Amino acid sequence: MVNTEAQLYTMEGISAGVIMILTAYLVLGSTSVYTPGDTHITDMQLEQVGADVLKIMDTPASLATTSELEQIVATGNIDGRFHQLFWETYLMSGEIAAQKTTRTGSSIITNAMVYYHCTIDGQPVVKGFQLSTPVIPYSGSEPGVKVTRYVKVNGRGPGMPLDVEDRPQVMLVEVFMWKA
Amino acid sequence: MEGLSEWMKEEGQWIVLMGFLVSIGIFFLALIMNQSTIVGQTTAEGVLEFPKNDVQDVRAQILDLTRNYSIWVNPGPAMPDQEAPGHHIRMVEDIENLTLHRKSAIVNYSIGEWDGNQRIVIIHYNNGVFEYDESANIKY
Repeated sequence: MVNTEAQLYTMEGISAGVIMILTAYLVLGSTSVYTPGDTHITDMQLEQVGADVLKIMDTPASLATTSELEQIVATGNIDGRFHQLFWETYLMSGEIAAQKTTRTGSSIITNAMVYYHCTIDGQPVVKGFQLSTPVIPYSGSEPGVKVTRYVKVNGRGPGMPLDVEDRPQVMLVEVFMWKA
Repeated sequence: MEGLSEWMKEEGQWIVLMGFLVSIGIFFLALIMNQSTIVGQTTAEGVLEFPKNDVQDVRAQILDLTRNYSIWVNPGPAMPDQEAPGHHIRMVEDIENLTLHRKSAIVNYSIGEWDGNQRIVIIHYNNGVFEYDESANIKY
């Protein structure tokens, strides 16, 4: 018949079972699963790389010259050099390896704008013009990041819209990047 | 409990005790491992969400403009590429409006009088989450 022989074994078994289940729960919980909500982590890496590229472009080669970015913005990017410089020369170069910041290692698409401040009918207005167009249009659903850089220009350049005021001013270069 | 086996009192109790100790040790190691990924992730996110690039960019641009600030407004050493005073005021508005409209951040700065030795620039930056205030001495 039933006696008290096995009571200690039962207690030990239950407590060991509880500890094992808790341990397994914690160990399994500590491995992270990459979910769509986590993409902002790689996005932030891409954002830093993009900001660094703009910083490189905004660094003059010598004290006597202006930076590449200033030269491009000053002419309103009339020769279309921005995309080639930003994307091909810097972003996709082997040293910077921006492709490694993307989830798929696939291509990074950029859309670059320059925003300027002008006065229309006595009101301050911020308007923009295109610096480079994306090779694939933005679908609206890809997670993207935006990097910006202030650039000082001396007046209205040849490639700029006519409502850009012809005076020394500060413009904002804004590059929107996403993975296609 | 008097019916419990006699041999267990003598032989098995320390095995049970050691089992408990080891399993509790594993339990705490697992707890540390469990937290480490979360701690690392939130720290990295906190670092990356800090608007470092924005603040550096605004700050560099304002200090650059200040160095070229005209002697016509405030007496001080002239710089070769300095701007006329009207242009400078418009450039202040450029930075404030562009930051407000495109970056959703408020930037305000004021440039102090030249006291014969230096000029004090006060910079404020606020994007709703993060606030930055600085007073910088410009000595040319």
